Amino acid sequence: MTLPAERKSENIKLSVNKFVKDKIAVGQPLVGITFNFQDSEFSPDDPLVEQWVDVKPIQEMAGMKGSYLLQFDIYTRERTDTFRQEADKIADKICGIFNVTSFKLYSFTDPVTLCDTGRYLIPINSDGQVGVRDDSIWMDSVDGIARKVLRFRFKRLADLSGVQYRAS
Amino acid sequence: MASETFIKVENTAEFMSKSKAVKEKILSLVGGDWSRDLWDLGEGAKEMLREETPKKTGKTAKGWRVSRVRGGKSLDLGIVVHNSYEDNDPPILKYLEFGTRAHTIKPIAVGGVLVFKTKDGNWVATKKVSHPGTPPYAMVARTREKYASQMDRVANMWSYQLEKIWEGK
Repeated sequence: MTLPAERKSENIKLSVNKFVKDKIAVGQPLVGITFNFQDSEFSPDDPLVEQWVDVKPIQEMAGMKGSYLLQFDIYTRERTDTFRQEADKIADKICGIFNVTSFKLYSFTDPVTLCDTGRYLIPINSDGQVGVRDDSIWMDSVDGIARKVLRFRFKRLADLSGVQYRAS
Repeated sequence: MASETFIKVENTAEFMSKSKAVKEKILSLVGGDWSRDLWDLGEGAKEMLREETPKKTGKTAKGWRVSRVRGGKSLDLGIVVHNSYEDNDPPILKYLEFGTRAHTIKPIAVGGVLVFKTKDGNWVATKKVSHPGTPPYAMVARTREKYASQMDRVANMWSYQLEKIWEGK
């Protein structure tokens, strides 16, 4: 017995990644920022890289009566972002990407021809606000690098509805 | 066109007496069962946080507390789960919750050395430490998610009880 495509952590994770990547490529709102899951040349240790975003999945419980929690660590070098305005701008852009009511959940069994599962992922915070981030916090700057943390929570409709899931 | 809503009270004395009885019942719940429900939720969240917080000395994990929040009115009901060490410097709790990236630790004093005990139990003195970073443990985020749904259940139970009180049952 296998998990249906819409409940697989891998599909949920990759669907979120695809959603962000598509937004970056189509509208190009985040030019000049490297994401660790988007950019093959992601190298924050390169002193020429001034701003970058590190993305970490924290909890993968969407589709299992929980949520998929994703953390965005926004880093900017203080030598060029003295007042941390650039980090704030990047944070606003990321918040803008997820300022939607839902987006499609795909099956990545065949990564070349993606299959639409017919299900959606909803960015919803722990207060129940849709399209809004969960946490936003400034961390201390370390080694001259400022850091802002954003967290987003994603759920499927079934996670919100409270319907008991039965494996098919 | 503005719409208007009226509540027609035919027997003022009866309405006043019913309102008073309802208020007394609600006050007794706020001071009794509901207060206990909320406290139990807080205690549960505290235990989960203590369990989930990584332990080295165990100080941060043991620092979780539950406190009542009172706004000064008899109908106010609230609790807060907090950590006694959340304002510490360095903010260990923040580092554990959100993680840290790989960084270099240097002594504050110029020409000073860092002295610490390694996992093997040996004391080491060095001028610089390359810390590999800490993963984000997200214990607060996970606890919040679990207890938000439990709080919903409790709130639903309270609203059901309110309905019954108003119906005089």
